[in-house]
Amino acid sequence: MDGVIVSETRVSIAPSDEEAMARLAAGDSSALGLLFDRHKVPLLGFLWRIVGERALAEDLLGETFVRLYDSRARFRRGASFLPWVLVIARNLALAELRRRRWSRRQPPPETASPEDWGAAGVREELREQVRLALARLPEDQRTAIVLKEYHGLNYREIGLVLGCSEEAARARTYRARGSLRGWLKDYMRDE
Amino acid sequence: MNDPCEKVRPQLQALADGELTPGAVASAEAHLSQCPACRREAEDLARLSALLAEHPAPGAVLPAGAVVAAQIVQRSRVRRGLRWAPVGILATAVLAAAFRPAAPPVLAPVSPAEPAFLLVLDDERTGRAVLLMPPESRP
Repeated sequence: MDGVIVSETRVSIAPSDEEAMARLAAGDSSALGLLFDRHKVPLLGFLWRIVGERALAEDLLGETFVRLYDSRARFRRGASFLPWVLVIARNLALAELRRRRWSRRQPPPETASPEDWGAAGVREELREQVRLALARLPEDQRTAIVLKEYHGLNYREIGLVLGCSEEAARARTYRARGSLRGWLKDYMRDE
Repeated sequence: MNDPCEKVRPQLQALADGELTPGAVASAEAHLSQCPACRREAEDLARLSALLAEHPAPGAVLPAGAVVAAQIVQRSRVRRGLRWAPVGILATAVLAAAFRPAAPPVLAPVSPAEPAFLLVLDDERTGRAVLLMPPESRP
């Protein structure tokens, strides 16, 4: 270990999510704040992509952590935290979508071609096309592709969130990709 | 399955996801170098990922975890207190009745100004505690 200086400074290692849940279940409420800080941004992104409204997604984010706290004693030792909290968030989002009768009645994507726009608006329009195409997917496929592309979950974890097998999660992602490729084909030409 | 495309096509998603073994990757890439149609398919998957990356979540200023945790814990304490309040009232009444000295029962009507009891419900959507009075006690 030439050139390496080892100091005697005590290093504080942040607990894993699962350790934080164990602390929370044991009564250490600071662990709840740690989990919120660690996951608030990706969870907000997940909720926003499922419900499509930022204000609603923020409400659901808070409610997710309320439910997490209420359920802290039910978190099983050995379970993975991320799929578990995503299940809570998704269930809340689905309840809200059902309440709004919105889940499978998404507006179709706009069909105007990119050539119709000025250069300045192209990027923003592209983002809007992607948003609309994602919103058009059935909720389970949307959740699958969002968890794969934006959150980097593997198919076993996606299956845990969706309540299906790893293979079914893979198939839903495959179908989602197929639909998105069809709807967005005009924007997938060579750059 | 003699058509090599039929073998490779189902693997393209796994290739894009980085799930193939090194041997399978080498085999798939060897085919892609020879097959424009499958290569186009693989490139489309990569372009789709790039396109989705053009769709970041909106930024947000969110409160600090310590603040949120304190609010949630406080709220939970209040809710727990409300939930057990009727039980406490009932238990107090039972104990009071059990230890009350023997006396002739007094049959007095309950004052209509005071509700006989409260129902404490938990609103499933908002998570808020809801207090309900029986209809006869409402003004």
